[in-house]
Amino acid sequence: MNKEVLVTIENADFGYYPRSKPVLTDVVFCIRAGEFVVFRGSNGCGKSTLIKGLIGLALVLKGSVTWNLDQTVVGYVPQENIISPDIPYTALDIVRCAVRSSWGKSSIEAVSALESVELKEAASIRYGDLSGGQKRRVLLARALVKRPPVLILDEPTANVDIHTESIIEKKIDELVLSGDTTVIAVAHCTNFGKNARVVMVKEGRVHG
Amino acid sequence: MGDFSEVLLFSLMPLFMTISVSLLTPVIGAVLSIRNEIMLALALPSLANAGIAIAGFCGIGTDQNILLYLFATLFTLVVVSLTISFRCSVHQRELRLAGLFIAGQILSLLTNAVKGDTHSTSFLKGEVMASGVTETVIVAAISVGILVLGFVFRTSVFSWCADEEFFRTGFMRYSVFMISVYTIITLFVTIGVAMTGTLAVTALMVLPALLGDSKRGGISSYMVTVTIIGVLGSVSGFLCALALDLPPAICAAASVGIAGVSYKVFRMI
Repeated sequence: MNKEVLVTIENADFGYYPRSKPVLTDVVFCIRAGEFVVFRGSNGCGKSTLIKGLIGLALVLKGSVTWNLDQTVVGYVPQENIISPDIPYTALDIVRCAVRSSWGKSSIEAVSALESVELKEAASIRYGDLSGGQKRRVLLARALVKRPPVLILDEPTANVDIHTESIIEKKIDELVLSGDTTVIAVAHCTNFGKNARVVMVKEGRVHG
Repeated sequence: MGDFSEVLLFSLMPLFMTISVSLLTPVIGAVLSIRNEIMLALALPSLANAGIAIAGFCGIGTDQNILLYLFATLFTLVVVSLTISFRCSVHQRELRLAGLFIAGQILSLLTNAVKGDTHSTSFLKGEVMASGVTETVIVAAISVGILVLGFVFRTSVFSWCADEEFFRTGFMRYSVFMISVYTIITLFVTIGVAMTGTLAVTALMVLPALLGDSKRGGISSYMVTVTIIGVLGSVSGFLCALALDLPPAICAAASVGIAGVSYKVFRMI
């Protein structure tokens, strides 16, 4: 059964500065609704640039990226170190930032998202005081609170313990099995995304 | 005591002006500090000061308030946006902003040295004691208006402060949002500098943000704390200035620092 094409990338070059050398060149592929796609490759090959290019955080220097849905509904889980540990935000505050309803009404939804990643008890703890694995789960909860039809994750299980890894994998498996969420991830670890369609990124090119 | 009450009665408009400026300025400082842009809190008042001095140099009188603020705001925005690029590293950006702080100081002193008159010199120190009813009402309305706007859109503002990349992925009109926020900040800092002086505005942006974090609680309580430190500090500084016949801007700056340190000590106890 052919599902609807969600995003199409046609002969795209991705980079961070206009008129600079692209990080990735001539990328051609499409992702269908409900798919679980994992980009693998060595450090610096351009995996993160590729997913950033999909959501507008890196520039499309040539070619095109076409989404068949409103791009702002995409849920994005960055690498943990993107948020400064010194900011005066609790775990709950970080998740509330993504809730579409007003700040005053967002607490219940945010607590429920934290609960879904088994982190309800850490809601009132400062983000900077959490462990690396807990921070990763907070960022996952922040992406999930919007109930996104597409979830994009940048190395979701890198540098986390086995317990956190299993929680994250369980949550992603639930989303994939439900068939309602398309999951696109970048991963080094070969254990992650065993049931996914694997796309190799090598020396600035995408294979598969 | 009777003399003080009498002086206070004649200084109600300056007092309301002080409250109006100190309501919003600490929140701006907190936003900039969360975004790792605290050097912008130093550079903006310094450049706004230079903008006002250059406006005077170009013949815009201190009686043409709106033109003066527009000139100074535009000057500050243009200089900042030409000098720093948000694509450069945090280290590079901080260094450039430090350079802008110094440039602002040099430009205002130089402009005043070449063509300075007593009125514009006193204007640059902040004319809070000369505040009239009309300008106090306008500044109060702008301050409360921006605070209400910030409150309504606080989810977006908090999200933008915490993680700009994540905010960009979920907000279609990101550039419009960013330009609007920086323009509002620059405009209010310019007005604040003209009304209460560079020192008071810089102190209000930096000190509550620095001293108001108790390392507990979330972003909402932090914002409330910095506002309380700013307002209480400014008002007590203003009243001290009246009682001791000292310059209000300097007293307000010192008092904001004392209020912040007191809060820090109180939280430690």
